[in-house]
Amino acid sequence: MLRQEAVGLPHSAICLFLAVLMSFCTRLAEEPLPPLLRVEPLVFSLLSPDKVFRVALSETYVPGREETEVYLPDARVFACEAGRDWVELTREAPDKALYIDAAAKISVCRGKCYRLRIESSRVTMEAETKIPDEAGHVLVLRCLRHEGRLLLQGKAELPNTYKCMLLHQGRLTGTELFLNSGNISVEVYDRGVKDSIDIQLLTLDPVLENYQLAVAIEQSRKVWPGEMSLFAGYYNGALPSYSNIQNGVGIFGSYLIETCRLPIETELP
Amino acid sequence: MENLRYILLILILLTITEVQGQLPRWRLQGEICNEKTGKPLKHFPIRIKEFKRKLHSDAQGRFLFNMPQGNYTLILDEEPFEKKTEIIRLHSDTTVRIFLLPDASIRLLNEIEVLASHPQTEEPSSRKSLRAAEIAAHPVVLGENDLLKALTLTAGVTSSNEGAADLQIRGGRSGENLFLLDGMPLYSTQHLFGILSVFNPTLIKDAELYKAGFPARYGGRIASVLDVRSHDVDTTRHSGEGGISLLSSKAAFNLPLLKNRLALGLSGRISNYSLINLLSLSGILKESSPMLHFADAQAKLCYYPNARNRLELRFFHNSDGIGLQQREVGKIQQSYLGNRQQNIALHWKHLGLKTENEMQLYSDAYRFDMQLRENDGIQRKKLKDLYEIESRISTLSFSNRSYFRLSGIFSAETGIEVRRYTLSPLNINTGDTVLTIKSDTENPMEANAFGELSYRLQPRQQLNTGLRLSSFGSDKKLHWALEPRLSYHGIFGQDFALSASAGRMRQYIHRIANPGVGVALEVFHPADRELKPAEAWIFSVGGAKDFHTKELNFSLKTDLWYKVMDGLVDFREGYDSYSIIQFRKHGKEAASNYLTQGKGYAYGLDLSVNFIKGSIKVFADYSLMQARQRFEELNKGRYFRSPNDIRHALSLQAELRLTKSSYLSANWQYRSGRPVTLPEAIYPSPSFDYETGKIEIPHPKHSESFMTMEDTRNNYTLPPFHKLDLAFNYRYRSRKKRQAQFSFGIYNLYNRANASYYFIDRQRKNGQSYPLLKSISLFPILPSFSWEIKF
Repeated sequence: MLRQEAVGLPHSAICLFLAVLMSFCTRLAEEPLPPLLRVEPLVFSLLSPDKVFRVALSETYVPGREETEVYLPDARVFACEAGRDWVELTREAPDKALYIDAAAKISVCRGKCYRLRIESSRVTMEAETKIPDEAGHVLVLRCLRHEGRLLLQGKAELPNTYKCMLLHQGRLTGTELFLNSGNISVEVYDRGVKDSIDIQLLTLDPVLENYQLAVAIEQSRKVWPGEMSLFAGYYNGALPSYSNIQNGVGIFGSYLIETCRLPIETELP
Repeated sequence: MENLRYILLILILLTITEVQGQLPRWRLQGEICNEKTGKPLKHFPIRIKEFKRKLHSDAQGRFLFNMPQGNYTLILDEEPFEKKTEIIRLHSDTTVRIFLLPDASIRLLNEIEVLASHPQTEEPSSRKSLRAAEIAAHPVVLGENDLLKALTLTAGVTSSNEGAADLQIRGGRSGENLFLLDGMPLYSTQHLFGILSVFNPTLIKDAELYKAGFPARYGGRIASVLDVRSHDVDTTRHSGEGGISLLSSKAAFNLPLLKNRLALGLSGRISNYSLINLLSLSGILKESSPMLHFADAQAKLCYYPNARNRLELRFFHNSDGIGLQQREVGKIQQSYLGNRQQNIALHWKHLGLKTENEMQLYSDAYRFDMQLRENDGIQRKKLKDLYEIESRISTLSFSNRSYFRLSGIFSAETGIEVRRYTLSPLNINTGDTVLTIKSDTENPMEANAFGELSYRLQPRQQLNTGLRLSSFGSDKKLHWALEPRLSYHGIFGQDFALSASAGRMRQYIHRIANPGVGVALEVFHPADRELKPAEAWIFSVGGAKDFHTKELNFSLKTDLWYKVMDGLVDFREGYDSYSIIQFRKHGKEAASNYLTQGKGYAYGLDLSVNFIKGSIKVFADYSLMQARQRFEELNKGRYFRSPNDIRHALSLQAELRLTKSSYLSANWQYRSGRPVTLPEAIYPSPSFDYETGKIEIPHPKHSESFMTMEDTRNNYTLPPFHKLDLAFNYRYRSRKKRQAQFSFGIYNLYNRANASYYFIDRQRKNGQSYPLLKSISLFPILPSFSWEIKF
């Protein structure tokens, strides 16, 4: 899962402020979860060319409700390229609500539209996505070890209509969620990297872009423990509306991926 | 022909005789002031002995008589001032300033009495005036009297959070209020990130809050205008005051330098933590690494070259900051978070025979700053900036206002204002080449002109009409608008008043801030090609009635209001002021990429009731309101509740005189809960492997993290807010006959936990992780004290 590094705010100053303010003033209380919470079927599926069509099902969480072990046991999942015949996906295992196009009947290609339909006795859900028709490309990229830090420097060609992210081992590089210019100059979180490093450049469709923004916001709330995050820049805006599942929650999105393996260069003075 | 010559000759002779028989007439104008405080005395009775007539000064303490040449005796005799008799030799147009000395025997009780002498009919329903003594009578917060806190007890006014030193007026947001201190706009009004306002109580003379019915001279914000005036400098006597409370120490001095000509007024306040830090810097205390600071200071140098002219050099500064330094090997790492604001103005006031002119040249600067730097451990020289985020705004302005008394019933006011901004909304520097974002500095210009005509329909009925032409922009885009203003206030009989107003307001500088507690990260964005100005049409109609009997004073005031707004600014979904820095998605892109604009409306009813009987005073203020907003790109384009949609707001204030020098005051506030957005769905975070395309949604039992989904904005209403504050004030004379006051207060007497924020947290139980809703409330029961002395 995508992870984001802690935000570089002056940590110590904020901690001090929190300590002073909270010891004086604040009280924390547990509240019942909002009555707005509802049980909704949950659908996640991300398409990418040359990858198997996969769909995961689940349910949203409501406290106090008996937790289901097998979600939507009678669900049937259909998918197709827009304008073509529906293909029924097969359930991977009876106790797992994961459906795949095992026979690879659907070919996922750049720029094409795909549809998804889930039928169960409870609900019928539908969604549609379009695979990005242009991708970001790495033009030049180097990885330098500089004063104990790993720095990525280079250039990329970014698409006009889609956002791109740079990942390493599933983690975001640098502190920027999306690349906003073709010039790359970011720090990579070094987790025992030795001689080389794999970097992925993702091109996201708008649904996945919004979802990634929502994920980043949720994770920023965890940078500070509990109520401290309120003072240290707790996110106060609205979450992006990322769900494109009709009659359910989740995303049916798509992405393009380019992977580079870079040798690590040690920068000498 | 001969006859005609005779007739002409007789006529000329008759005319000369007539002229010689009538004395020339001259104008006598002037101002009546309190000698101790320097403030003008409004509606003060003036008896002219020769005519056996009693007239009154106007609302600014001024008077203008037209009288035949001669000697006149003016008698000014009204409590609580000592009687004064002035002999005027009127042989030409004459201007005088008359100073009255408060009677020493009753001076002590002046400030306690003041709340009673404020008939509700005196001012329009949509305006609220507060004098220093009225602010002082309110229960204190952490030992500090606060203007903005006092205003939040009045109808139609709330704050964004408990304890927040900001104002939300009639469905408007805190960034939509114009705060003026002696005519200079303030960008930030908060100390200690909202616990106190920057208006130091020792400097405030009076304040007027306009919620509607704005005179044409005001503009630039769409919700309200708070015009705060500081004490006038007294050129005749030395005086001062000082005080200490839990949070701060303050002092004010009045220093005449040339009697009746030149004087200096100084006032300042500094946090007690800052004082401790100053001591530590001077080596008296051991080095203390944490730093918590706020301070404000005002200086006024006032010069009267003659009775008709006054020159004033004004300076105001306020700053806030928290910081910490940590020692590392050979280095000291310093972090700092703060804001700073400075204003300087040269002001010239000229009193003519029928005119008054005010000219002001001023400059101001505001800076928000967050930084982390390394210093040399021994010499404390700066080695490098590791991180710095800043937002700046500064202006250079010129304004001129002229007031003309055209006749007994007509007066006019005109003015111009030119302002050049230097805006640098957001600069981020990580100290190396990894990341530097510097927003382009912008230099928009603002030019405004206004005209206002006041017409006295009846002795106590006034109609004001005004027109303001405002313009703002640069060579890329120019915005302009005509802003008509109309207001009426009439008093019928002795105790009934009606008022009505309509007006259009425009705002060219958008202030965008995160609404949360903590780091008040705020960014100022000008209207430009992408962002249009905000504007509002505001209408109100109200009435007031005073009931007086020998023992009882009861008054009632109500105002019905409606406003429509356009060009409101809010963050797009997925952004707030913190995240635009954190994710830096916008880079150097236009603000319109993370901001969106919409419209809104709000309407409501304000009601105020005053009850005074003997030693008991009770004031009740109630507001009923609704506010809605609509943005094409938010909430699927549907209307939603404004964040400041507080349906009911009630405040009850009571004052009980215990003795001649002590009183007990209390206030109870109730507000409906404000709307917040809470998730409508929670689920375990799915995991993706982008390389292989594998996807998994864990079972809630095994999930370490949860995702949320919000469908409708402001879909939940917080529980109501209520609390009770108490204060006991005791005035006494010190051994050296100084007037002193001791106050003891209790904030939130019954320790109500008013939830300010809700957030989703995680809890681990039996090896499983569960989402949990938590609320945070500020300010439990807090005792406080303060002590002040005047000399």
